[in-house]
Amino acid sequence: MHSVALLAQAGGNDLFSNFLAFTILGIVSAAIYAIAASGLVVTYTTSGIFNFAHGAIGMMGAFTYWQLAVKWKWPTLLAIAVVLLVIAPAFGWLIDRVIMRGLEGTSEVTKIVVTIGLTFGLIALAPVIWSPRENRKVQPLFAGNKFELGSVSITYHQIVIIVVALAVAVGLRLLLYKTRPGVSMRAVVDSRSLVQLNGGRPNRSSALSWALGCSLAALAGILIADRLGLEVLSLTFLVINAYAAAIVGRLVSLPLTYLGALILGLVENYAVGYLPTNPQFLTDRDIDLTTTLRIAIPVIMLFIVLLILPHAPLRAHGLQRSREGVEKPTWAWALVGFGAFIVATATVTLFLSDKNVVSWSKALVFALIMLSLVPLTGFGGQISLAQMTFAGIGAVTMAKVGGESGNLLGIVLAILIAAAVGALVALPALRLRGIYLALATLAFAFFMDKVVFSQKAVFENGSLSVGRPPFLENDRVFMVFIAVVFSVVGIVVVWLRLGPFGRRLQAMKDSPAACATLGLNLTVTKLQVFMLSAGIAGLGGAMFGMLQKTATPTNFEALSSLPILLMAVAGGVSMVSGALLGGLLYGSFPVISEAIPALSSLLLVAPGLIGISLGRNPNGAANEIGTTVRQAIDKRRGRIEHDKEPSKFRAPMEPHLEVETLGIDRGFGPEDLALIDEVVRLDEEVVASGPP
Amino acid sequence: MALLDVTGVSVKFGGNMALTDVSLAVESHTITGLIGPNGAGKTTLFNVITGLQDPLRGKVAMNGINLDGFAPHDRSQRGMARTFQRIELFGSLTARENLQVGAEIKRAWDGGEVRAGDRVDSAIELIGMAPFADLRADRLTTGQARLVELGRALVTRPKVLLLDEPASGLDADETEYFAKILRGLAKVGMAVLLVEHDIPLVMKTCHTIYVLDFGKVIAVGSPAEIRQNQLVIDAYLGAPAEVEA
Repeated sequence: MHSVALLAQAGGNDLFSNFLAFTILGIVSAAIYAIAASGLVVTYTTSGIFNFAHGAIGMMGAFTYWQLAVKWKWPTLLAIAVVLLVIAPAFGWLIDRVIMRGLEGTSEVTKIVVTIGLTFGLIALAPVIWSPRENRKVQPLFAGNKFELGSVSITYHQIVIIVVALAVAVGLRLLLYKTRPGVSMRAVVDSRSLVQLNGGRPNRSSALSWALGCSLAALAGILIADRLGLEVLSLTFLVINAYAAAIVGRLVSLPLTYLGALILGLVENYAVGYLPTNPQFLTDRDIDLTTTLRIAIPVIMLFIVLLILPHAPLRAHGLQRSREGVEKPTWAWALVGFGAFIVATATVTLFLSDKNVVSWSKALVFALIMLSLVPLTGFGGQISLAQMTFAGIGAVTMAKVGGESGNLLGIVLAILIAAAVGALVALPALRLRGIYLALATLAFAFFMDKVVFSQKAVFENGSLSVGRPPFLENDRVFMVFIAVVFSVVGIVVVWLRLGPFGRRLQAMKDSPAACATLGLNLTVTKLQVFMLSAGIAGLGGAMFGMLQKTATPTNFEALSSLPILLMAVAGGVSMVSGALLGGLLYGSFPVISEAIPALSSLLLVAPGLIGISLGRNPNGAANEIGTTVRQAIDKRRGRIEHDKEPSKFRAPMEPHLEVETLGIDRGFGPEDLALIDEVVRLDEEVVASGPP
Repeated sequence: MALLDVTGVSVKFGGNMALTDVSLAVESHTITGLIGPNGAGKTTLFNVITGLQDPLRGKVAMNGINLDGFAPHDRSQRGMARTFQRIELFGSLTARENLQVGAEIKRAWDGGEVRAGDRVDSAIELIGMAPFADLRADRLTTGQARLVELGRALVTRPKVLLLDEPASGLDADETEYFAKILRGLAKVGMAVLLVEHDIPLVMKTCHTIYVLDFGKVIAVGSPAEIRQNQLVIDAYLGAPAEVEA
C-alpha cells in the first residue's frame, strides 16, 4: 500500500509529517475522483443521461493503456495520447451513435437501464479480451520517481495527477462556457429541436459530449490503475467514489463536484491513517478494517450527502410522447395464465433430468426476484440495483431462522427483514429524483457485498446451509412449490396493478408533479413500493437458499443485481409474464452454455447486449408476444382493432383531422349545478364564509 | 381575509426577476382572472401557490394559515387543486383512471363519505367526457385533455381551484359550456383563479381581474375597469375594439 510506504519514509514518530503525508495522499485521491466525477457530470449535463457505465469505461481505458504501453511496449506518452485522444473518444462516439440516439421517446428508466446494460456488457467483455489468468501491472508515471518535501516524499506521478485535475477543471469551464461547441452541448440537453432550429448540430454536440465523457473516464482509469491494480471490478466500482463526489454538486456543478472529491479523498486517507488498523494477523472473528474503511467511506458519504441534499423542486414536464406502455392485465387472462403455468411446471418436472430440475428451478427463482421489480420499476418507474442483495438478506435470514428443518417462519422473516432494510436504504434517496435511488441502491449493494456478506459472522465458513421442510425435500416437488409461490405473488401484483395503489404508482411514474398537486405524498408512496419490492426479493432469496440448500456470498454479489434488472426489463418489467420470461431466459444461459460451450462467452455478455438494445423495444418481449397473440386472435375473429394496439401510440396532442367532439351537446341547466354540487361538495364553513 | 392570500411574492430565476412583489386575494364564490402576456409570470405564480416553486420572498396563506414550508401534497390536502398549462395527465392511464387516481388519493387521506367511483362518474357526466373516458390519456386531443385535467382537479373537492389556460384547445361552443361550469363552481362556493388568454371568456366570467406584466401586477379591478385601463391596453389587450366580449 502507498500509505504504508510513505509512512515509513516519513518517520512514524513525526506527527506533522504523518499528517502532511496523509493530506497529500488525500489530495491525490481527490484529484482522481474529481477527474472521474467531472466526466460523469459532463455527460449528464450535456446529454441528460446519467452514465452508469462511466466506471466500466474507465476500466476499459486502463486496460487498453496497459495493452499499448506495457504489452506492446509503446512509449508511455504515445500510449496515453492514443487512448485519450483516439480510442476513448471513438468509443464515446460509437455509444452515442449506436445506442443513445435510439432512445428518444423512452423513459428515464429505460435510459438508465441501457447504461447499466453497457456496464454489465463491458465487465463481461474485459476478461474475454484480457484473460484474468495473466498478471498485469501498470507502473506509475516517471517510473515512480520522487522528490522530498521536508520529510515527506512525493512522486512525480502524484504531481501529474494533481496538475491534470486542475487542468481538467479549467479546460471544462472554458469549453462549456466560452466556446461555441460547449455552449451548444449545454443547449442540446434543454431542447434538441431548438438547437437545430438555431443552426446548431445536436447530433454532433451529443457525440462530442459522449466522446469527452469517455476520455475523462479513461483518464481517471489510467491514473488510478497503478494504485488499484488492473482489476475489472475495483476499477468499475471507482464510479461509486465519483458519484459520491458528483452528488455534492447535484450532478451538475463542477466546482462543488471538486469540493466533494476533495472531502472524500481527505476523509478516506485520514481514516486509513488515524483510525485503528488491522491487528497483525486476522483471526476468523476479526473485521478487516482497512478494506472495510476504504469501501465504506464513499458509501457513507454518499448516504450523508443524500440526506442533506435540498429537496429538488418538482417540475411539470407536460404530457410526453412515449413509446412505452403496456395493456392492463385482466383477471381472466391472469388466472388462466397462473393455472397453466403451475400445471406446465408440474408436467415438465416429470421429464427433466435431476440436474435440469435444479437449473430450471433456479430460473424460476430468478423470475420471482425479477417479479420484485414489476411493481417498483414497471409500475412506479423507480430503479433498484440491489435486488440480489435483498435476496441475500432473505437467504441469510432463512438459513438462520429456518434451521435444518426449514421452518417456514424463516420465509416470513426473510420478507419482513428485507423490507425493513429496504426502507432504511431507500429513505434518504426517496425525496429526490429517481436517479438518486438507483445510486443509493448500487452503493448499498457494493457495501453489503464487500463489507457485510464477507464477515465471518454472516456467512460463517463462507457458506450457510439452508434447510427445507420435509414435504419439500424432493427437488421436483420444490420446483412446483416455486411455481406456486411465484403465482401467489404474481396474483398479488396483478391485484395491485388493477387497484388504487397500482393506479397511483402508474400515475407517479407519468407525472410526479401532478400527483403531488392532487395530494399524494410521493415519498410515502415510493417507500411503500420499495419495501414491497425488497420484501419480494427477500422471499426470492429465501427460495434461492432452500433450492440450493446452501447460500454463499458469491450468490449475492453486487454485480449480480445488474442482470436481474436487465433481464427483467428485457422480458417486460411492467408485466408479471415479463418477469417470468426474463427469469426463464436468464436461467437458460447456464443450461445452453453447458450444452454448447462455444457460446459461453457470448452468453456472459448477453444481458449487457440485451440491455443496450432496449431502445428498440422498451416494452419488453412479453408485451411483444402478447400483442402478437392478441392480434392473431382478433384476426381470426375477423375484427382487427388497430386502435387497441398498445405499443404504437399516436403522438399525443396531435390535432385531430376530424371535427373535435368533446361530447358536450347539451345546454347547462339546474341539473348540472346539482351535479357540480355532487362532485365537489365543499365544506360547509367555506361556503358559509364566502360572500353571498 | 380572503380564502387564498398571496402577499409580496418574488421569484428569481438566475439573474431575472420572474415575479416582483406580487400580491393577490382570491375569495370563495368568485372567479378571479389572472391575465398578461406570455412570460409575465402567471404559471410561476401558480407554481409558488401550489408549492412547486419556492419564492424568494413573500407568503401564501389559505384561510389565514401561512403555507410556508408546506409541500405540494400538504397544500392540496388543505383544499387546493390545479391544472397545468402544459398538460400533465397520466399518459398511460385512461381518462377515467386519471379522475379515479385523483378521487382515490383524496379518499385515502380524508376518508370521505362518498365512494371515489361515484364522484368520478358524476364528474365524467358533468364535463361531458363520457365519449372518451376509456381512451388512454396520451391519445386525447388537447381540448379533451384539458377537460380531463379539470375533472381530475374537481374530484379532489378543492376549495381553491387554479386553472392554467383551461380553454385553449376548446371551440366556441365548448368554451361557452365551460364558462357555465366555472360559474356553477363559484356558485357552490369555490374560489377559482383563472389564467387565460381567451379575453372574452375572462371578461364574461371573472369578478375580479389581475393583470401581470414582467412579473409585476400592473392593474387590478372589475372587467369593466380593466378594459379601460391604459396600462393594460398598452401591455396586453391592445386597442379596445379587439376586446369585444
